[in-house]
Amino acid sequence: MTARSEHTDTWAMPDRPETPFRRGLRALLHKRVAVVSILVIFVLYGAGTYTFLDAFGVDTGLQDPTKTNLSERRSTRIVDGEPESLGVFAERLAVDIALISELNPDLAEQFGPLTPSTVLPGQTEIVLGVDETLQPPSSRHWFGTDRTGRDLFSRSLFSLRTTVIITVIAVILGDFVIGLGLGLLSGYRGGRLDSAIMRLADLVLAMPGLVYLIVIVAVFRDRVTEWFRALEESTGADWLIAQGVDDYVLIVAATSLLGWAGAARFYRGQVLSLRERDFILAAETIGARTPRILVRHLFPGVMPWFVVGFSAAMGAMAGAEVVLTWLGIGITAPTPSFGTMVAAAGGFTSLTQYPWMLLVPTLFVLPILLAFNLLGDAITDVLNPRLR
Amino acid sequence: MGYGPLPILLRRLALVPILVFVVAAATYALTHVAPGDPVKIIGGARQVDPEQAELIREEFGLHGSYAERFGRYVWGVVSEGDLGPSYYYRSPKRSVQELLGERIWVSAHINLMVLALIFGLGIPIGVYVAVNRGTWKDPATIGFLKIFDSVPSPIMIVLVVWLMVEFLAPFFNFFGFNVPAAWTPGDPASYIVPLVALSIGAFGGMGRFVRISMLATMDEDYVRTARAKGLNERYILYRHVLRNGLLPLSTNFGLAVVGVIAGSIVIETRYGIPGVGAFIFESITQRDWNVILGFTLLVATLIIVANALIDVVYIFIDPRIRFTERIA
Repeated sequence: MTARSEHTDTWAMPDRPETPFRRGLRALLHKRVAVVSILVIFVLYGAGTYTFLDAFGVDTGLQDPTKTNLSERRSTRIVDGEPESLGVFAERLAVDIALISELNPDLAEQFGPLTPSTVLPGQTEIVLGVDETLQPPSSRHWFGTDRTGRDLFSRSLFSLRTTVIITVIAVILGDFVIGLGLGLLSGYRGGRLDSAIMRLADLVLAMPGLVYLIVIVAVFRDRVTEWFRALEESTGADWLIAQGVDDYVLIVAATSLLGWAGAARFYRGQVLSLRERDFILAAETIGARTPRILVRHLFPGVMPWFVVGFSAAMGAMAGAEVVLTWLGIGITAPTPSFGTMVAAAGGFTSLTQYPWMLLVPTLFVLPILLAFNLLGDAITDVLNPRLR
Repeated sequence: MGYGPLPILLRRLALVPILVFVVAAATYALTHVAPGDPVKIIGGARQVDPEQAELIREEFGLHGSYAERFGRYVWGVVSEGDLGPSYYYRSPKRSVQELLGERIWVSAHINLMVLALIFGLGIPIGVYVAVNRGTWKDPATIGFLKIFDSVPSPIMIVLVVWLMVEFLAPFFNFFGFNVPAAWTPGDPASYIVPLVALSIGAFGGMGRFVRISMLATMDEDYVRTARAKGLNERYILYRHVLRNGLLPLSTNFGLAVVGVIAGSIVIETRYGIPGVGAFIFESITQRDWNVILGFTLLVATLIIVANALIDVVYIFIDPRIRFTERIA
């Protein structure tokens, strides 16, 4: 925002000269937009991380996000060719007949008042509970329920877990490990290695990213699930597909495969100027090897720029999940994710009838994307004070 | 080669077919090696015995070694623009170029209108915030527009339809429009939803991009010189800053095109527009790899050629270009 706060805290004169990173961080924390964005991200990612406890068997107090709150339905039996009476039926399933008549008004209308001696035709379906489908937000279901009665509040929190897993791993792998790693290596070593890596990056950059993301995910979708099924059989870890690990791996791999090129090219450019500096020459003179120079000397120099890319990539990733899942090639059914929630919400007619179905995932996705978006902008501004 | 404009230009253009070929090879490999046997997709649920399978392979050009198949595909594309048969539309047999050709004009004219909107409104927005830098108007405008940038397209389309059809209906009725809840051919009002849904997310990013490049230009010495000469601020803005500030915008063009095409897959499907985007969604569901391959190649070629043309134009507009940054 404005430059007002730049020189106000003269009392905070540090003993040692402040590092560029600390100075940047301080400038960033003076920006209200940045602070609010960081808070939003912390709260939402914290909520998503909280649901990890569930995977370790801790009671989170949340409903099972995949549990449908459909009422139980049972049919009357035929014993020795004779249909059982309602009294026998009620005793067998330990339900109250008054409740049955209340929940089955159509039966009472058809066969008269329901008493223990009432005999219904065999295989009559009797509703034993209340359906909780498509309920608007209430104290029992804070964000309402969907078409099969699943609680949208707990589904949202578990969807946040999916977002946390996908965004963090994809960005660490694509931007950090591959992108930053190849970029530093390419820029520092130069020569043939540099040309090879950069030609490959050019190629990837020439391909329209989102379109190829769709193609790659569509192509490998069935394959990856097959691999994981084989893996489950050989290791006995039967929770892999049920927890959606195959989906995570597929999406993360596909985005990393496409996402590294821009990052590598950018970091290479930064390193090209850094490597001419005296401190690199000094490190080389005392015999430091390439890995040490990359990690201890070059990485700190490009670190601030990594944070910018990091923020933008996290937001892009969270959005890509929604689009891919909506197209039917992202996260698949039992795993809760915002994409599946949006897809389940349906179109315009559903929105007018059951607005919470679409608004609930929107109220989570929008703040996440917006916070990362604005945070990335704020960091860029801090790094480029000239453009403020 | 030398460093004059002509050699650079030739080198740049020579790169186009090479890039297209390599991208084509990669995409072909992707769709033909990984997904298992296309015969299963073509045969559907039926059990296919080996003899039939061989017949199907031959009919769809899938016989022979991988190199032969790829060679045949490339030759078909180069010699007669043949993108191969669709796996899904096979009775009667349809070719990918026919299927795409029938649908491309609907998509193309909508997407071009969207691009015109994005640049036509995005640039003035960027200029506005650049001129108002340091005031509340600058972050407020960009922040507000970024909200729309943060709504994924599957949510955006539903919200836009709701806004236009329910909420703003009286407004449009006043002008004699009745915005339909789904695409209606021949009804000009049915353009409103796709145009808004596809463009609204791009303004924040575009505005910010223009703003940054304008501010960078404002710091240039020649702007200071112009100001020192006592030129009118408005004149400096339009004659000195805007002209050069908008140059980097051309690098954004390819990105914008890809964004619109990707967005139109979702928007066309949801709004019922019979275009390429909706068709690709269908092809993904049907695992119709030849269609997906053809479409991807088309988009990739479009982007590569567009980027090359932009670079060529750049050479003539900006003599400082030395091609250190972008190759593709």
